[in-house]
Amino acid sequence: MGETVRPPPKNGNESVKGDGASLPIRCKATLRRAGTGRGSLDAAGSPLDTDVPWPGATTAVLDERPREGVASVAKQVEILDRVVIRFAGDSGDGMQLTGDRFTSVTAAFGNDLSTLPNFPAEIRAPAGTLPGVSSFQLHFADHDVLTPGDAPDVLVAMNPAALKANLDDVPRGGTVLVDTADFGPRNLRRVGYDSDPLADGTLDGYRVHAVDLTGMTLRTLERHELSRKEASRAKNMFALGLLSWMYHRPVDATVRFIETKFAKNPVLRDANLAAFRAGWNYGETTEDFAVSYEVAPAPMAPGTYRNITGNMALAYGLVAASRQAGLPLFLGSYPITPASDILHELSKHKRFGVRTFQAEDEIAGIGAALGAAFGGALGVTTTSGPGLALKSETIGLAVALELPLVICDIQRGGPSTGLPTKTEQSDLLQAMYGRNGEAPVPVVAPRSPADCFDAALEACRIALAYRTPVVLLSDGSLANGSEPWQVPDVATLPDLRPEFATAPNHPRADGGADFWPYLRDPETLARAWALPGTPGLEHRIGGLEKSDGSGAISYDPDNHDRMTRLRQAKVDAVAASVPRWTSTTPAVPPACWSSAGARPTGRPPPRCARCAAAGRGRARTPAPPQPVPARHRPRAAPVRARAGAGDEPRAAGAAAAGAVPRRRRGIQPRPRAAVYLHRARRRHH
Amino acid sequence: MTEAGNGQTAARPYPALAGVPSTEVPQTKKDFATDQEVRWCPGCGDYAILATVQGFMPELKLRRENMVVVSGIGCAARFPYYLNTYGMHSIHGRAPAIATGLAASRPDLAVWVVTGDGDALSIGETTSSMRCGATST
Repeated sequence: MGETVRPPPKNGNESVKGDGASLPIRCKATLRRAGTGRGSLDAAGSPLDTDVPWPGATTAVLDERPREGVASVAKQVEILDRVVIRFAGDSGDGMQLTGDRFTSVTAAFGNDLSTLPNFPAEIRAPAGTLPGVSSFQLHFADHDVLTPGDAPDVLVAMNPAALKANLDDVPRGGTVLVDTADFGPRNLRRVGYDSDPLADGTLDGYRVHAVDLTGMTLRTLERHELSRKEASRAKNMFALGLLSWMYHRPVDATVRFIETKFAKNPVLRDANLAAFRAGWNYGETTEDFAVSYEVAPAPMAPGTYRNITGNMALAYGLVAASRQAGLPLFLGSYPITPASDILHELSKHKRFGVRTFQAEDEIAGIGAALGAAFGGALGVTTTSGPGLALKSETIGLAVALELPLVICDIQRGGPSTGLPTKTEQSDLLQAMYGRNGEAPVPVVAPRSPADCFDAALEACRIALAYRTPVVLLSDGSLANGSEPWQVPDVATLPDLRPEFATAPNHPRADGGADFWPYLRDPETLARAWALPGTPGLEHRIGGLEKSDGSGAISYDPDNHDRMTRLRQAKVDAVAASVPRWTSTTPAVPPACWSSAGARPTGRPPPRCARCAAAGRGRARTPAPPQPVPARHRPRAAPVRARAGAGDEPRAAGAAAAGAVPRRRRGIQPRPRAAVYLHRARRRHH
Repeated sequence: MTEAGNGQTAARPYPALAGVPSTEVPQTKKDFATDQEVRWCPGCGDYAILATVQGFMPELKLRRENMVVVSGIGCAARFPYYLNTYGMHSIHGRAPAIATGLAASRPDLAVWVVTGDGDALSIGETTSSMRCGATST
């Protein structure tokens, strides 16, 4: 590299001298509709016949590009209804950042989208190897999309390992953009290629763009004061620029992002900006890329939207729930992939009354959360599958104590340590049954990253209203994936304020009154919740079985039978309460979601009115509601009788004993463990 | 030690009790006894400990409703049931963790942990709780 020349100070529209072409370039777009395109554009007076959107920015185009060539390239524009792009490279190549930026501008542009980051567990796996490949998949569309997509239409592979690891997922006919810089014999052998896949026919049937992204980035940055290694790191920005051109993404936001991110380091800032612009200009000028693509914005309800990951939405949901409940949020947690982001995010919200406690292990994390819940905080713990296993004993204690507690399990592949950074939804049975004794808990599962906000609110609502631990079952894909989220109006959020006991609730024979911690609300079966600090309501709770009502230790078998059924009936009551709550996510009308999944009746879900009107879904006569078998029926009525029985506990107890049939001899039917899946139900159109 | 009374907090030699409201209403040992039958073996030292604790708690002049006793498992862990304060009888070795969460979120509470040797030092989290400086006693 010769003498380095610092670029002149950039003021306003001044362009770098001697850098070849200057923009904006007038570009005649020809329009061709793709077969699957839903969008239609009138060719006459098309908005595509316009200036290239590069408003007055300084430009750094490769010196090698002849100016004449620029103007002569007539680019086609295809209209697509949806695209799946996967960025893949070495961990350290900045693929997550690249994907993140592309996602942000796509969200701002107004497409609906869904993302899937996929990265190795090693902080830095050996460079150029298959285990070191990190990728980011983005599905964006002009309509509502529900998944990050199975097969990428476009693969951006920054090295041979990324190509090898991801090519099988790309269907023939797909576009493959390869950085050829690392395709030397040594690197190819390292990932198991005997010959160059760019030349040996491996890529036959794909639309291949083999481009020396690294080399061009280095040449772009020749005049910047950077080492070769530092300069090559900007290749992700070159690729981002190229893709931004290819898919007509707005560039302003990315420019602003780079300027902010590297505000303290002008050399890096200018280098990344130059690489980004060079990538964009390369797409615009080279004949290799004859077609660019447009995906129109998706129709969405008016409102303020932001792109959000599942973990971020879940953290916000917890904060919102704590505000709506009027309780301080206490998070007792121990970091674990992929749940740690929630701890990180919540630790920033002290001004909302959030306290985060990073404990010495998962067990202490949930213990602290449960202790805080006893004191009247909204107790939350976050973890993944292995942590849920460690927390199971304390969850059982929370079931016995009947205190509100939210356990967020961000699932990952198992068993054991399993696949820490990979997603799997395999903890359902652990969430439902992973405790000793009969300890049913409600389980809430979000259906998308943005829905994590609603699911968190819902989990907190259930925990607070029913005084029960609730498992919130997210997963790595939702946690790290993102989609547009309509920021809800706070006024529309549910009121979650719980009722606390303030006075003794059980009259004594001598005219005084006691506080009985296990007297219940007749509707929710929630027990009375008295906070320490309330005079006259001193009471003791614990893991030993308690007498229904008084809360005294009880080894009475009939009482244990009653308490076992009550704990189950409480969870059943939660399931029955579901239809009253509506989502703040407007993407899918709640009417389309059947509530049949909440109770396994064996019947197909009923069709919603809209589907029925449109003739969609199963054509059938709705089955009449079936009575719940007597053995599963909640025994709320006797409890009510007992709770209101007044000043003669013994007599009330006897009356209750009369109302509840005594246990029959022989094997008793087990109460069914109920699981409540929060809108994770079959959609039938 | 100055007694503020009327629910105000006073300067006390124990940092753990700094934020706990005090009372001027006279308390007796009997106020701290519950109606539960004490179930320890005859001659057990726990009886003496219980009597001592019930005896000195009135001297602290703290509001009884602002005292919480947390225990883990074992004979000693029955302690909260016999003290007429708020209390939680939890699980093996976890009392310090629960007390940490409670004390961290409610500085107006005097949080006490009752534990035995195995509960505290074998399986327990006592050392970690001490290390993070939670204000439990």
